[in-house]
Amino acid sequence: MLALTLTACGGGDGDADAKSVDDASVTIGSTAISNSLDPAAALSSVGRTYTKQVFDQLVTFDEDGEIAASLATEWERVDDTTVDFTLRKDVTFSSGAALDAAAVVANVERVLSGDPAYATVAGRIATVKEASEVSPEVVRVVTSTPDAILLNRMTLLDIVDPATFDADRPAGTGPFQVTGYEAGTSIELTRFDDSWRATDSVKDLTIQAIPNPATLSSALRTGEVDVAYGLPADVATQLEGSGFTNVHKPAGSSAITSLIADVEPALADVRVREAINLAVNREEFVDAVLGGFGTPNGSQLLQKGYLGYDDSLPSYEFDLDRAKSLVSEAGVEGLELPIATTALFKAPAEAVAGYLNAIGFKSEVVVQDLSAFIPTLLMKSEYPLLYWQTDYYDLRDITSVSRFGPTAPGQQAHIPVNEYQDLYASQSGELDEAKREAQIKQMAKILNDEAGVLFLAWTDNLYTVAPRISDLPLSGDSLVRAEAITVSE
Amino acid sequence: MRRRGIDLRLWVPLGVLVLTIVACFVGPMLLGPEAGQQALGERLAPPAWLPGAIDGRPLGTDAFGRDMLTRTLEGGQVSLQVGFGAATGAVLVGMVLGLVAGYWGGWCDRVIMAGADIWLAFPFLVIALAAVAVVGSDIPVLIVLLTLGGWVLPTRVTRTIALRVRSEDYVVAAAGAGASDLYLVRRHVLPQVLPANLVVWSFTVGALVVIEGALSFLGLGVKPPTASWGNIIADGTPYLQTAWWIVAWPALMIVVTVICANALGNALRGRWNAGADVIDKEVVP
Repeated sequence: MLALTLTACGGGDGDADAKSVDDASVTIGSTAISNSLDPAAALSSVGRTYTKQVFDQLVTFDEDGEIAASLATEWERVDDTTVDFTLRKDVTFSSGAALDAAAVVANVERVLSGDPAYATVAGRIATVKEASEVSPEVVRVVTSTPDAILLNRMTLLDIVDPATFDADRPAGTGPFQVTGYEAGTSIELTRFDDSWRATDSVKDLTIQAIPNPATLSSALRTGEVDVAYGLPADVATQLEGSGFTNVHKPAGSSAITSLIADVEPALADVRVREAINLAVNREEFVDAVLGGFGTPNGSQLLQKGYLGYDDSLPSYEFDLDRAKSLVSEAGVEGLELPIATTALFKAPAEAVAGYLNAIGFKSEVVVQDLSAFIPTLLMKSEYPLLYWQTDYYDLRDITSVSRFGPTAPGQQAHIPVNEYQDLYASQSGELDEAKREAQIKQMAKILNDEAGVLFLAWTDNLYTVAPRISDLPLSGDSLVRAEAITVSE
Repeated sequence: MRRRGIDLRLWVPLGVLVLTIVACFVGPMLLGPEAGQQALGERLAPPAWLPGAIDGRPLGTDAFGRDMLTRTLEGGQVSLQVGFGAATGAVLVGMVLGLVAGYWGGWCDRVIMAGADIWLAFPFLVIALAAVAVVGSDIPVLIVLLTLGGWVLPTRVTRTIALRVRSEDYVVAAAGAGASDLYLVRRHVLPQVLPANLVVWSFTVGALVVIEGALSFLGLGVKPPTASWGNIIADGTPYLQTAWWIVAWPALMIVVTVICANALGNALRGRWNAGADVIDKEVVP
C-alpha cells in the first residue's frame, strides 16, 4: 500500500524508514539531453529536464497542474489583452544580478526578436505582442488578441539574466547552476544556495545522455545513474523485479494514430474509420505494449483534469465482429494501410498494425528517422496512418496540439472537418472559461462522432528510479523537481 | 566421409537445407494463419517444456503473442528468398562479367576488374543503408541490393578460370580450327566455370543470409510485422534476460543455414575439383 501511494504521488518506493540525507549527489540518465544551455533554444521535454532546474518562469504548474506563483507572486488582468505580473522580491540570478521587471522585458524581447534559434519558444508565446516595465516590481505583458491561456504560455518562458544572454552558461534563478557541460552528453549542475527555491537535499546534479535504452538500463543497475527517463515500458517493468521503482504520471499525452484521408480516400468513409477504432483492444494495448503505464482511451484527446475533458463521451470499445462487418460493408477488405512512425514508437505501431490485419486490412509499419517523420507529420504525409504520441502537458491545453488546428497552405491536415476547425480557431480567444470549455467539448464530440482519429491511450511519463531515491517529485508538466528529490542513506 | 557410396558431407547439409526450405515455406500453411497473428494476451509465453507455456505454442511466443514457431518459419521465407535469390543473382552476374573479363580480356578485363576493386573498397553496409532509405526495403529490393553486394567473388573466380582455360592447347587448337568464341565458351569454358560457381554460390548463400540478417537487425530489412530472422532477433533483444527464446530460434536457424551452406560448398568443391585452387585462393570461408 505504501509503495502504491508513493507511486501515485510520483515518488520512489525506497525504504520509507531509511533516513534521508542532505547534500546528496544525483544523476539523471536520459536517452537524450538538451543540446544547448540557452533555455530559449532548448524547449523540448528533454531540454526542459535541464532548464527546470536552472531557470524559473513568471508562473508555473503545481503538482496538480494548476497555475501557481513562481517569479511572479501575483497577476492581474488589466483588460482582454493585458496582464500585469508582480515579481517576487529579493530574487537573484546565479550571476549575482537581481531580478527585476527590466530583466523580464529583455527576455520577452529576445524571444520575440525573430531569431530563428528561439522559434519554438516564440511559437509557444506567439500571441504576446510586447512586454513593458510598469515599475521595477511589475511587468506588463500585452497580447495581440485576447488569449485565454496566456498564463499557461508564460510557464514556458524561462527568465535568464540578460547580462548572460550570450554567455556560455546563461544564469537563472533556479536551485541549480551549471558547472560543466559536454554538448549533447552531460550537464553538471551544483546547488545555487541563494536561489529562492534551494533546498538542502541535493547538492550536485548530473544530467547524462545515454541514448541506448539497454545501456541506460545497465547504468541504472550499476548505480551509474539514479533516475532513468526514456526506458521502454518492458525494460522498466523488468527492473521493478530488481528493486527499482517506476514513477509514472498521467502527464498529458495521448498515443494516437492519425487517419489521413487525402492519402487513402477510403479513410473518408466513416465506416472504415469506425472499423479501425473498433479493431483495437485498448486495455490489452495498454497492459501489453505500454507496460500498464497509461490509461486506455478511445474517446477524446484531452484527459481528465484538462479544460474541455468530457467524461460523457463514449469510448470506442473493442468489437472484432462489428469491425470486420464494417470492413466488409465498406468493401475495403485487403486495403493497404501502412503506418509511418519513428523507431521510438515501432512496438506500439506494430501492435496497431496487428489489430488492423486481424480485421482484414494489410498493414505494416514504416519506421522513419525523426528528421523524415516530422515533415511527414507536419507538411505532407505519403502514408495513410501516422502513429505518434502527442504531448500537451507543456501548455496543459488543447492549444498545444497545433497540428490539429487550422493548417497553412502545404501543411498536412489531420482533422479536415470545417466545424472542428472553426471551433479550434475561436476557442483560443474566448476568455470566458465556461464558454471555452463548451467549445472544446464540442470539438471532442465532433472527433468522436466522426471517428476522425484513432485514440489509443493516455500515456504516462515514466521515470525509473534506484532504491536510494525515496521520493521523486514531478511538476504538473511532468518534469523532475530535482531540488525536492529525497535520497535515503 | 562416405558410407555405402553416399557422400554424407554432401547429402547431410543438402538435406538439412532442403528440409529448412520446405519447413519455412510449407510449415506456416500447415500451422494455419491464426498462429502467426498477434495475441497480446499470450505475449512472452515460454517454450512448451518450461513452466507457463501455452498449448499450441511449442517454441513460445514473442512480445506480441505471436507463435515463435510460425514466426521463425515465416522469417525464414524472407531470409532464404533473399539469401538464395541474391546469391543466384550474384553468381549469374559474376559469371557473365567474369567470362567477359577472362575470355575476351583487354580493356573489358581492365574495366571490370577495376570496377570490382573499387566496389570492394566501398563499405557495403553504408551503401545498403543509403539505398534502402531511398528505394525502400521490399524483398526484390533486398535481392538486388545483395546481388550487388555479392557479384565480385564469382566474377573473380570465373575470370581466373576463363583466363586459364582459354590458353589451354585444346582451346587454342579449336580456335585455330575456326571455332567461334561463343562455341568455345559454351563447349570448353562454361563446363569448368559452372561447378566452381556452384561452389561459390553455396558459400555466397551463407554469407548473404548473414548480411540480410544484419540489415534486418538494423531495421533496414522488410517492414514489420513481416518477419525475417534478423528483425525477429532485433525485436527480441530487449527481452534477452526474460524471454531468450525470441532471439534463440531465428539465431539457431541462421547458424544452421550458414553452416549447411558452407558445408555444402566444401563438399561440392571436393567432389568437383574444377577450379578448386581458384576457389581456395578467392574464398576463405
